Amino acid sequence: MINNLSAIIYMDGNGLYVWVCLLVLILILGINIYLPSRRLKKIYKENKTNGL
Amino acid sequence: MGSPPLFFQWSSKALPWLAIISIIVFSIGMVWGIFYSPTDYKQGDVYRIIYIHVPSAILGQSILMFMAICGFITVVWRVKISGMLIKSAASIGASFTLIALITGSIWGKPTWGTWWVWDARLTSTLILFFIYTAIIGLHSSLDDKTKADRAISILSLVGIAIIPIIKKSVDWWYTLHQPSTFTLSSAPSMAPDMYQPLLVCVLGFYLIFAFLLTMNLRAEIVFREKNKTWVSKQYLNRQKNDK
Amino acid sequence: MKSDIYNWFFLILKRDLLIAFRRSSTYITPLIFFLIVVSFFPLALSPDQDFLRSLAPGVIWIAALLSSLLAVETIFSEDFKDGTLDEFFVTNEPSFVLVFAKVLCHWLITGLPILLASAISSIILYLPASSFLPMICSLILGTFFMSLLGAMGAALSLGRSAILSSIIVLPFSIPTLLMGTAVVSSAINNQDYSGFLLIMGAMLAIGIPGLCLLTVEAILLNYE
Repeated sequence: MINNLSAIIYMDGNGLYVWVCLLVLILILGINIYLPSRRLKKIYKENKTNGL
Repeated sequence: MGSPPLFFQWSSKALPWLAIISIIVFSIGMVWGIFYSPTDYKQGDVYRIIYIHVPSAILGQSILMFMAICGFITVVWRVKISGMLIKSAASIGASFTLIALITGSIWGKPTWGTWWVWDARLTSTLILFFIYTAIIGLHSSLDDKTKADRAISILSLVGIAIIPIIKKSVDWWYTLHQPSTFTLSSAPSMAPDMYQPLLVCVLGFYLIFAFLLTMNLRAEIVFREKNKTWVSKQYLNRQKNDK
Repeated sequence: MKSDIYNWFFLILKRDLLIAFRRSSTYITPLIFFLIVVSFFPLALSPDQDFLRSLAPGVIWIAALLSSLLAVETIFSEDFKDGTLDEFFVTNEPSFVLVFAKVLCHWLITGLPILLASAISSIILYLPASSFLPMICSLILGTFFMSLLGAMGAALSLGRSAILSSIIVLPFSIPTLLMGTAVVSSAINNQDYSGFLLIMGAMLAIGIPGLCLLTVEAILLNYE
């Protein structure tokens, strides 16, 4: 399977679906990683400006 | 570990390891499944979406079970951290269910010809998504967050009790109304070559859930306790380490 | 003592029935809302007789769900606002009985108008007469379960908007909807519908203790 890279990407014309699904997965997981870390940093910054 | 500051200290050290392990297992599973598993003779290569769709659906349901267990602990023993766990897990569960819905719909287009089909599995996944949004909506509408945690616990307990009933009744409903023109096949019958990467993917997804849960829980703990001194000490430590 | 619990139960029941009957809007509005929702379907879709007949079970059940959900909004809010609910919880009487009495009263007040409205709707939606009795039976069981669920939703979102409590309650009412429409549909097709009624009854049997207890827990949240 790995021999033919273009075959993998194309997948008999259905490759677009598989890659879009992977993209959706990475996107949503990425949002789930990004949002909490941003929230944490924002609270730290608020604490700093409040001089705690 | 039951007290929020202790969990935060522990998780600060454990988080990088958890991230590394989860990303490794997740990547192994995905690469194995998408690139190396054999081609299905009926569906061709499109079936590889299964390595994304099925683990997400499994996680979506397991997370609700996890939330119900934490809810029970919160309501009965008034443990604070289990309440925060429910809130942290809710958005992750909703995300996985959403991924399952979207990938299920995308999978449907080349195999069944339509973007959406009211079959039993997709419909019960949609209802599961509604339950998650109900839980998230209720929590965000209540200002007192400890009270909100307990409200969420009650809702997750009702959710987990009613999920089997929903699944059974949706299954029955679908067999009643299944269009007689064509029967929609479920996942392809699995050869071991296809099954093993699926197991690794499911394990990887569980580890990713643990990682995301820890991140969410840390943010939630710091948010709730932001006026306590241990939080500002944490920040000063971070500043020292960054320098 | 056993008689104390019965006295307490009937006290709450009588009080709530009296309060509800004083305001005629309590039992008229579910009826009118039901009929309005039902009328929207022919208006929005098509007044064709066969089409409406095929839609009838679903439309009647959707209207019943929405009516009983919206009617249950005020089950706790007025007592909460004027402090009577505090009084009820301060006494030593079992609060489970209080919740059950309130739900029963609410169902008596709104269930009968909904049944009447469904009878009218079955005529205007051309529902076959053979399925009339099964429809009433399924609605009796279903609206009671909806009152239970709605009470829990009202307790969880006490003081908040009705739409929040709808979001909470509606996903959990899907089994009731499916079973209820199954009863009416199979009655139309002259099939055996008793199994579905039994399932709805079983849901009630588990739901009454379970949901009442959880509703008590939810109300107590507001008193932390």
